Amino acid sequence: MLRNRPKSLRRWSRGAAARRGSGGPRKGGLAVGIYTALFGASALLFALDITDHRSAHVTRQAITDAAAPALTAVTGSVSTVRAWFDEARGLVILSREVERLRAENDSLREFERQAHELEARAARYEALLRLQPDDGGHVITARAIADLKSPFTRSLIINAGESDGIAQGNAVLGAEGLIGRVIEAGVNSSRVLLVNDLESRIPVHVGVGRHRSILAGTNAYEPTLMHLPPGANVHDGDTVATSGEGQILPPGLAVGQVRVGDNGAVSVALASDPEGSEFVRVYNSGFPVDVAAGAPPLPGILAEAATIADALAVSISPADAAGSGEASDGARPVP
Amino acid sequence: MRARPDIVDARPPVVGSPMALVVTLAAALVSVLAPGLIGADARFVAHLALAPLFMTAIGERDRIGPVGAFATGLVVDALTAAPLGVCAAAYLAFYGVAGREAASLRDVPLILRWLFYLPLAGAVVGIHIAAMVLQSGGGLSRPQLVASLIATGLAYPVLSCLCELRRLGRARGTRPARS
Repeated sequence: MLRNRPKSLRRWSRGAAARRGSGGPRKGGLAVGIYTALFGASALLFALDITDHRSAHVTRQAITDAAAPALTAVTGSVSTVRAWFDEARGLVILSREVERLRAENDSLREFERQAHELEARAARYEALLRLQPDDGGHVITARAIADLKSPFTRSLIINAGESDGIAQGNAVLGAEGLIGRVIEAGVNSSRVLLVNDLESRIPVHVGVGRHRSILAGTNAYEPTLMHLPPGANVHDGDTVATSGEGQILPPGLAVGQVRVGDNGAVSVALASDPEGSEFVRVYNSGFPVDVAAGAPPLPGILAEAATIADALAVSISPADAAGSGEASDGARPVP
Repeated sequence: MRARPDIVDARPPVVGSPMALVVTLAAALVSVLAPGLIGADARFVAHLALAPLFMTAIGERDRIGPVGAFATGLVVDALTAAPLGVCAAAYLAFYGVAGREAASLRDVPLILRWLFYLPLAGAVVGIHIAAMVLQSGGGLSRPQLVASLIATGLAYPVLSCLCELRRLGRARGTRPARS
């Protein structure tokens, strides 16, 4: 022990001297250079990102692609634990659910009968109109590997990208309807902007009157409807579907139902829960994304603005204005 | 696992221990995913990666290096849809400031190290939130802000205690038996 003491003391003093300042900026020029270079890189990346430069998108998508396997692993392992908790909780409320489901089953039988009736009627109408079936597009099923919730964004990362046939602008569907669209498509992963994200704006048709409107995310659970025509006859439960205007999403995709609040605020109860979807379907319809072929793509926010402006320009066209003037309830004819 | 001074100093200053980098990046991924995994209504911004970053900066663990700190911040930026470079610069500054005080912090009790960690981590959270508010135009309610600060603030003492328990367990396991 005594023989070891001088050696350990020497080692301690050497270590203390070495540790002093370890991890922080070294006094040497090299360390200053490294910190300066890294801060410079941060500033450069920030500048590229706020100017919506393409290289910033590429960098972000490359990082997301690289992190995708790790995200899958982390999400998978933690999801298993969460599933156990959910299962235990489910057992507790099972008995109440059974009673409720029995009552619901009775009413659903009636709905089923009506649905069959309507299906047969729709088939007859389609035959009458000689409708052509939807030709384009294919559906890619993908798994949501990261649910990036924060107070500021509502987005998903899915484990499918350009190699699977996904392209920017593709519609992303949950079990029952639209939940978002692809805003960045990497090689093996893509980022999906959910419809309830603050930056999401989607042109839609509302109700049987097919009133044009913009589905706007608010970062709350349910998005709202903007720019409804004055006096539009919108009721609780009216269906909301994409209109296809703005050339971002194909028309006719179910979004949800109108919900009119006590204070008159109009929101949309989404058909599919955008934040609870583990598996999603990406619908690549081949719908045009860019307005002019060969033209450089607009930066994200400008493209969004152009989409909205385009939809608004259509909704206030002179013919429509004349039509709305004639209609007493403000409802406009379907074009 | 405790940092060995002779090895620490022999490493190049740019890149530190790969293991420390992996742990920090894993913490960053968990912190990005945490709100989604906890529940649909959980809305907060947790920076759990600051805890391992702080530990490596003050020499409590193997060093991660400024490039590691920068890379971790960049990953957080990319995955949280924050403007690129904001968290990268904040994490780098956090690492640098903590590293500067490494010599004075290493031998003080955990509570004092925590008191040093809290304002630094709070500043990083504040910078991130401010950048997100400016970018997205959204807001953060007071409970969300408090939850973000608590999650980030508690990360260091929890991780430090876990590491200390693990170290004690190992030391007990490797103690030579008396003959």
